[in-house]
Formats: sequence, structure tokens, C-alpha cells
Amino acid sequence: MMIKRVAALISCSLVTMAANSAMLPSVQSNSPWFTDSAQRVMDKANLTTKTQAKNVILFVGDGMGISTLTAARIYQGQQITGNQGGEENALSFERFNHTALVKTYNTNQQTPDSAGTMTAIATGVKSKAGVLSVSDTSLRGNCLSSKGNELVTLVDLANAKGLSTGVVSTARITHATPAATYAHSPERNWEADSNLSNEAIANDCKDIAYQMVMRDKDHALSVALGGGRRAFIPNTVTDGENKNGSRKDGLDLTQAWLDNFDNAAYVWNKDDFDAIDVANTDHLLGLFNSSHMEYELDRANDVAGEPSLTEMTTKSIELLNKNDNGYLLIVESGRIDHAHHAGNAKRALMDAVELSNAVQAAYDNTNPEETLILVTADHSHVFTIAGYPKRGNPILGLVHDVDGNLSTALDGKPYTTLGYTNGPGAVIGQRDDLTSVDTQQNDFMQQALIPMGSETHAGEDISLHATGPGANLVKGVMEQNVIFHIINQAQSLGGTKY
Amino acid sequence: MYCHPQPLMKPISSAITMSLLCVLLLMCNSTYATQVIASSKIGANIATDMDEPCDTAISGSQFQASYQITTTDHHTNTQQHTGLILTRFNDNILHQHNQVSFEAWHKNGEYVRYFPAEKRSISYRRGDLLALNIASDIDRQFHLIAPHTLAQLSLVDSSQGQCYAQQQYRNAHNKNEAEPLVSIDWLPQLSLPKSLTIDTGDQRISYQLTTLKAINGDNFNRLIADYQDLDFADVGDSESDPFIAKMITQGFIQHGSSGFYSSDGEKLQPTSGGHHH
Repeated sequence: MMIKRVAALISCSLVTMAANSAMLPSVQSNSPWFTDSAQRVMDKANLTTKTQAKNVILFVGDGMGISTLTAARIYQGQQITGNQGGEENALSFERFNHTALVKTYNTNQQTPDSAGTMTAIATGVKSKAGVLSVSDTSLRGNCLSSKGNELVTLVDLANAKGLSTGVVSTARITHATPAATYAHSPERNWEADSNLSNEAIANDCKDIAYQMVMRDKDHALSVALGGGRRAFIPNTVTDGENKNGSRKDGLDLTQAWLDNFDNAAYVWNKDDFDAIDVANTDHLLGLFNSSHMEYELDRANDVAGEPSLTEMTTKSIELLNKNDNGYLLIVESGRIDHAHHAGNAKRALMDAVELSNAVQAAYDNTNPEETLILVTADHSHVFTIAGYPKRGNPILGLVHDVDGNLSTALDGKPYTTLGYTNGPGAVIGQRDDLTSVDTQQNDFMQQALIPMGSETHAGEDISLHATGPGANLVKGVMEQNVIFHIINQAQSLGGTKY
Repeated sequence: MYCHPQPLMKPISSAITMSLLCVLLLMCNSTYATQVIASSKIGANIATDMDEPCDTAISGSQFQASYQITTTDHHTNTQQHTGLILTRFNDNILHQHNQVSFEAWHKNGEYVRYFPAEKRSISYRRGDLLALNIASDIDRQFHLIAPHTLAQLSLVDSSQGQCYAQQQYRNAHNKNEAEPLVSIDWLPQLSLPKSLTIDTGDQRISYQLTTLKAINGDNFNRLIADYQDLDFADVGDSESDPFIAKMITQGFIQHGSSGFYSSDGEKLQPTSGGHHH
């Protein structure tokens, strides 16, 4: 009886498939659009995902909203020989099987900042703008109010479990996004002791650089790579790129790193970075710029040379992988945000593409059965893709319609596909006539509507992409602090009773 | 950092004129000129007036030069006087135009804007400037007139002054063209103009070197010490900072690229100078 029922179900499903196939004309069912997507659905139907991850790598594109992803994928696609316009391209992580939308607001701001958003990701608790891994009962910039309100971070939990941890950023390593993973501060700007207020000093709040280096041995970072060297060296010291330190307390935290940890190394340029012997290094500090590292577009012009985000990611994985218990690595592409703030889309897109390269490198250098890779942003920007450009129209170019004609606005002037709602590209008065302007050049500033000294963050959702064990938890529309809980559960960090 | 673009919107007849007009545009930063360094007392005892005995401590890479800038409107026959102080120490040069802010350039292309009243500064690294579509001629910042621009003018006379040799340059002015008349008295040992006059027909702008002083590292560093600095890249995350908000509102943190394209689509070169709307 049971066999008959199963047979009937199978035959019914076959009939249904045949009937559906029969209903479709060959121009449809033979279309590559149809066959390719049908195959993708088949792949998804057969997808199985493990639940426990040995390793977790979390990538954060600072300011990498969905319009940035779309523009970056087209930009990258248009560089590929034989492309079909570029729109068909996918960034590495856009091929991951699991995706969700993420709500980014801070507890006190509809449109968030990086400190509050990364606090949510790192601790599982949303907080207010400007504070790092302290609860929103703290007052921004008030040390005393933050006492007792420190939140345990993913890095804290991973270290407590005996995992190795690493933080990488192209921004200053003490900047809000990386800092929220290892520091607790009611003020994101307290990057060096010289930034501390009198109240902070009086109440014994420590600066962010100090907190990073002075973690106890059992909770020390194994890898810290990025910019921000000045916060680690005294203001009486000039570094190898002829920049002064910013510490007033006389501490050389780069030396403290070497003194505090076993098999520790400190590097500040690409040659030294390349020469690192991973087998004999257990704690690697790399500070490649006095402030933020260079944009990817300008990296070749750096005085002493800087590694790329891909190179930093690969080296970090190599080092962290020495721990048989596993690791947690957090990688930020920090300058997508800065280029957007400056209204310069090309640099933002190039940094986003480099993040995609870094994710691909991470995927290629890890076992997908044991490593959960997550890619997200902290917030979006007011960055738009507009008009009706033809397929394959240069993403940085002026809009040309499907007939190849230059599109013009009501003022008779052409416009670019990419633009900003606000920012430095806006003018009071008449906008530029871009008819003869090369809008694809590196330094072109996209036009904007509302004049502001700096383009702003945006408040819409951002995306989360995942592959590997635990990636099945990435679905739906979620609050940003859920990302903490996904990692906590996938890696059994013990932060809750899962 | 930008000057008002209007002068650039006129038809441009030559590259030389374009570069020189950029010098002219330094004017738009000079509205509130004050002798900032003089009031700070640095080098008071090392002052070398142009008529005083020569100070051998002054060199082309270490000096403080004060200029009086006179703008004459030919239509209204009125004059406006302002000032500019250049303070150079090796690879750094300060441009002090007014009480509100002054600017520093480094040979590596980095730029800092200082706000003395607030003891705050904004640093623009080379990548920041490029992202803002600002391509500044560093040579012009250090010499007011870039050597490559000077080389396009005609040397009409040379002489030896009390302390320095002087060279007189003119442009090949054609009265039939809308090209300014340019006249420069150049100090080759210092690579600075002793005087500079640009006459557009509508107005004449003259720079006159009035004081030249020696400067040392301590004096220079004192001018820029104890400022709370912020990277321009971080301005976007700092708009809740009252100082940043105020400076953006007042236009001291620049916005807008309008006007920097000529009618044929060529990107015009912004100058160091006043804020831009």
C-alpha cells in the first residue's frame, strides 16, 4: 500500500514536470537564462549545510551598501575580457548560497554609524552611535558611565575558548569597526591616550590602542593588521614614513607587543610583511600607515609599500590556521566608506572589488566543510544607480540609452549613472555640464543633490552573505546584532545557551 | 581649499595664463589677512627687512616671507589691501592668509588646514585630495609661481640687489587677446617672487614682498604644535563634532566640484585658497 502511494506520488510529480515542460516553448526552456537558473535552483535544492564551524571569517565592507555591491560587480565585470556588459558578473561572495538583509539602525540613530553597528555585530547587543562595545546606557564620551556596561565581544569569547583571533582592516586598526571587536570605549575617537578627555583619564579609561596591545596573554590577538601606527608610538618618535606618533604617555606599544607576547613580530611595510616567517610567528602586528592605509587605487604609491587586503587576509589565515582548535578572523575593508564620504565612486568600487578578491582568497585557502565565511557591511551610503543606461554602459560613465544616445536631464545636461543624494559633489547653483568630461577617470567626483561637506551614511538595510557550516542561519530580514548570535552558535562560543 | 571659480569661467587663451590665474586666485583666501607670525613673536629678533643688512640664515628652504597684496578695480578705481605670509621649513610650507585658518603643504602632497582659535586641524592625505578631485601644483604652493610656469615667460632683465639677484619676467602680451599682462620680479636664490603683478584689464592684483625673515625648526614647529588633528577621511564620521559641523556649515571643509570644468570639458586646477560654494 505504502509502495503504491509512493509510486503514485513519483508518477504524479513526473507528470507535473512533463506537463510544465510541455507548456514552455523551446525559446524559453532552451534559453541560457532558463537553463542556468534552473540548475542553480537544483543545486540549492540539494544543498546541505553543516551546523558547527571550526573557523569563522567575518568580512565587513564599511559602507558597502547594496548599491555599492551592484556597482562594484558591474565595474569588475566590465574589466573582464569577453564580458557581456558586466551586469552578469557576481562578486565572489554573491555566489554564496545564503543571504539575508540586515537592519542597521543604532539605538539612538535611524541612520547609523560604524561604532554602533559593529558593536551590534561584535556583541549581539545594539548600542548607540559613537560607542564601542559598551551598552547604550553609557553616555558617549563619558568614561564613568561606561564602567560596568562593557559588553563581551566575539573576540573575547573566542579567546576564552582557546581559539586564535585576528583583526584586519585597511582603516586604522583603532578605527571604530575593528576597534569594536576588541576594545570597550564610550568614545570611538579615543584611539590614543592623547585623545582621552580629562574625565576619561581621571576615571581610568584606556585608549583603544592600549586596549588592543595590553590584552592578557590568554586573550591576546594573534593577528592585528592595518593602519593607525601613530596611536601606538610616542609623539616624540618619527616613524619609518616620516610621521610622528601621537602618544603622550611615552609608551611604544609596538615594543610592548613584542615584549608581551611569545613569538611576536611587528612589521610596518610590505617587504617586512612579505618576509614574515609564519611558522615561527604566533602574534603578528602590522601597522602599515600612520593613519588609514591607502585606497586600493593608490596603494602602489605608498611611501614604504602596503600589502593588499587579499594579502593580509591570506597571511592571517595562514598564521591562525596553526591553532588546531580553530580561529575567528574579522576583516574590514575600511575605505569604501571614506571614498563614498568623499563622493568618489571609483575608489569605493575598487576597494569593494578588492574585498571581493580577499573573500575569494579566504574561500580558496580554507576548508568549506569547517569554515564559516560571512560577508556583510556595517551600513550603507546614499549612493545611487540611476537613469536608463543601456546594457554594458560603463558604470562610471554618462548615461546612454538603449539606442546609444546620450541621455539628458531637464536642464539639458547629461548625467552619470552613479550619483549621491548628498555630499561634496553637490553645488549651490547650476550643476556642471559633463558633456565633455571623462567621468570614468580616477578622481572624478560624482554629482550629488544636497551640498554637504561629506557624503553621508544611508539608513536602508545592508546584506549578509554566508557559506560554510552555520550559513543556513543566514536568511530573512534580521537585526544586525543577530550576526553575533549566528557566529556564537555556529562556532559554539558559549555566549548563550544554544 | 577652493577659490571661487568665477575667474576661471572666462575664456582661457593659454596654459601660461591659466597657471598665473591660479596665483591670482590665492587672493580669495586673503580677505582677513593678518600678520599672524609677527604677532606670535617668533623670529622678532631675526627679522630682516628688505632694506636691512642681509641675513645669511635665510635660505630658499627656510624662510618666512610676508607679502602685501593689492587689488585694484579698474572700473571703480578702488583698492583693497590684504596680506599673505609664507613660512617654509624644508619640505613644509605654511600659507597664512587670515585669522580664521591657515594652511600647510608638504612636499609629499599632503595638506593640512589649521584653525587657530579652536586649535583644531584637518589633514588631507594625498589620496583624500585625489578622491576629492583636487590636484594641486605643489611647486606653486612652495614658490607662488611654479618654476615650469616661470620658464614659459620671457626673461627681460637681470640685476643684483642688496642681498639677492633679481630677474624680471614678462609674458608675451598681445593687446588683441583677452590675456592678462603679467610682470614678475623673481628672486632666484629663494625661488620666490619679490613682486608679481597680474592685470586682467578689469582688475590688477599685485603681490609685494615686504618682509623676509629666517626661520628654524623650533619656530616652525611652534606654529603648528598642540593642534587636535582629524583626518579628512574621518570627517564623514565626525559630523556630530560641533567643530566639524561648524566648519562644514561655514564652508571651510570643502564641497562642490562645480566650476572646475571649462566649457570644453577640461578639468581646471583648483588652487589653494578660500572656501568654495
